Amino acid sequence: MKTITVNRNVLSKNDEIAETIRADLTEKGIRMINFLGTPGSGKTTVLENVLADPAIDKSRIAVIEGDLFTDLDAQRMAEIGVRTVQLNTEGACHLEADMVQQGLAELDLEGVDTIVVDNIGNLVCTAAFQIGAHMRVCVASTTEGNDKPLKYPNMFRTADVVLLNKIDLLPYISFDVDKFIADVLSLNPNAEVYLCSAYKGEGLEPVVQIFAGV
Amino acid sequence: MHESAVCREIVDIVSHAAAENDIEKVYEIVVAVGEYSCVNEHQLNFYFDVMNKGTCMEQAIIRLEKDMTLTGPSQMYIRTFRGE
Repeated sequence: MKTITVNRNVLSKNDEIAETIRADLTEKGIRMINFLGTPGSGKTTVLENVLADPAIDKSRIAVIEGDLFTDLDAQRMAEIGVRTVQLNTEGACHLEADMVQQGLAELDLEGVDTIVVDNIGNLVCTAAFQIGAHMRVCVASTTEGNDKPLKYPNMFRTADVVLLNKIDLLPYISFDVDKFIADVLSLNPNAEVYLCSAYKGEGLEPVVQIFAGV
Repeated sequence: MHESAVCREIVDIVSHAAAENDIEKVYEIVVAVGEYSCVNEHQLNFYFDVMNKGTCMEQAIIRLEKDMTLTGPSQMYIRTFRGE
């Protein structure tokens, strides 16, 4: 009887592709931002408003839209004049690195220095599967309730930026903003947390600055 | 979370490692999981019982070991396997 030491990440196949993507983009001077959050948290609406800001040169941005079905979000990006590719997972609840690699192959990256991946709405699997991004932005929203960081810790532990969206609805719902922020920071003291209302176009300056490379 | 995909990767990785080490029968695979790996042990074993058929792992069990040091996006590592 022999015992063999393996010490290998079970998701290593995915993570190796992700690392290849990240290295390739870094060499080209391109950074990729993974936009994550629940369905309906406002990921695409945040993107629409940020990309419409005059400080953003849209010719430098490309978007990879991830959805189970439809190209509704890709249409929204096309309407604001951003080059976009739509990935449909046909039921899978997250994007994997090889899908993103295929999406990148379909994008014309001439002049692009920022790629945004608008991931599938999901707080579990999207946190576990790396796609080669340099930064993770989690879009949460007040209508989800303030308990989500503790319920879905892996998402909030691995996010570089947490945007709390729909703050315009705070007068009408029960949501403890201080508790939400404290829970995020208890899981991830390095997270940058911002409050915004994408619908009203308010509080998006930090994201605009990230996209503008400030 | 995606126990079938996790299982497929375990079978793939251990199959290759067993062949490289001249092991024909695997009896136990030790997988370290972080606190938030989101792997359900019952589901993992269900899929493993299906996917190990016809492989060197047909008589094997998967033993999960909590490893609190695994905190990043990847919280599942095949540590060791035992066989002959």
